[in-house]
Amino acid sequence: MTNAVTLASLANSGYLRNRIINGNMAIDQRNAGASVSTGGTIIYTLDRWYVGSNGAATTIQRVTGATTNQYRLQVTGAAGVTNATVSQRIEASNCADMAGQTVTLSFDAADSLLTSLTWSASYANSTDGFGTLTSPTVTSIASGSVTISSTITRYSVTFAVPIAATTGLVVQFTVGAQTSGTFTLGNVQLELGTQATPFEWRPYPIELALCQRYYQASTMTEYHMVPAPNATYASTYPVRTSVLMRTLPTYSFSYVSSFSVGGYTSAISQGANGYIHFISASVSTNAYMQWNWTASAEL
Amino acid sequence: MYENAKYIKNPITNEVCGIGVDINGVESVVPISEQNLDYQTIMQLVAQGKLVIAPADA
Repeated sequence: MTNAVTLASLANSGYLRNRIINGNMAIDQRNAGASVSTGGTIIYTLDRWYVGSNGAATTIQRVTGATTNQYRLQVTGAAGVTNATVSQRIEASNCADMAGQTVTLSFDAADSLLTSLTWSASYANSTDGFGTLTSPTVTSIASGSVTISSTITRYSVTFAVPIAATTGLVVQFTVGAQTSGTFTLGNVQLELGTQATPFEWRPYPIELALCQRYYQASTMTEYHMVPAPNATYASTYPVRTSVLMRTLPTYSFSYVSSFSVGGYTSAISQGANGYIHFISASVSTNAYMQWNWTASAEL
Repeated sequence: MYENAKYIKNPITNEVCGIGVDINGVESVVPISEQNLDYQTIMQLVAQGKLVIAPADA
């Protein structure tokens, strides 16, 4: 019996067994460790994780764990908060094989105020069709609660994934009235099997690339020269993303410097691996246009 | 927060290529794709009467 258990554990100890991306909370492209308010809605914070609250806004931040290269997601409560959730949607192509299988969810958690943490798992009603963040279209699989304390502790739960759940999974953690104090979550892992294995450490470049399938930001300011004189100057400027994104992303722009004299700038001909920035302007002397961009193809 | 939504055209092909919209105050272009979460959200807001998408410039 002991040998059988050991073999089962070994069979599930392969690399890339964790279906959660950024489970160790190391990647924070949006805020680079700065705190951000949920602002009364549901927002993506640390890569792949979206957070919401009811009653009042909470503050989210990537914080350092026990060591300087270990990170956790921290929710800071506020007066009026009735509950707060931290969730991740898993693309169907990364978890369809879990349908009809038993899986184990393990995580580190602590709360300085509350003693109960509810977890839940659901699946999308159609392939990667989770609905919007505020109106999800998912079917519940399982849920439960664990007793937590102010000391960071590792927990694990096991549940059966229905055979129909080939469409993508959602894992969600919920705490109640976090009216003060902090809820901390880290090292989240979802894997096949009935036993939790040690948290799978993945090299930072690999974890970052996995995250960039869903969100990425320019790492340098795009710089485009507009020569003069031209009564009207129009040009296109191609921009490539670091990795191929999950689907056509939303491109957002922050202009470092720009011009608007008859100007028109926007993304056209968007693709999952970049976009064409169209610039139309009238300048009397040589001019430069600089901008940063983000691309979001979150679920 | 989605504001100032407007269809935009590719000025070369003159075809509608996306929705220009300010997302939390940041100028963005959302593709017309059911797979895109922002597009889903915008369409939901439109259906709820909370957002109007202006037509593209001629």
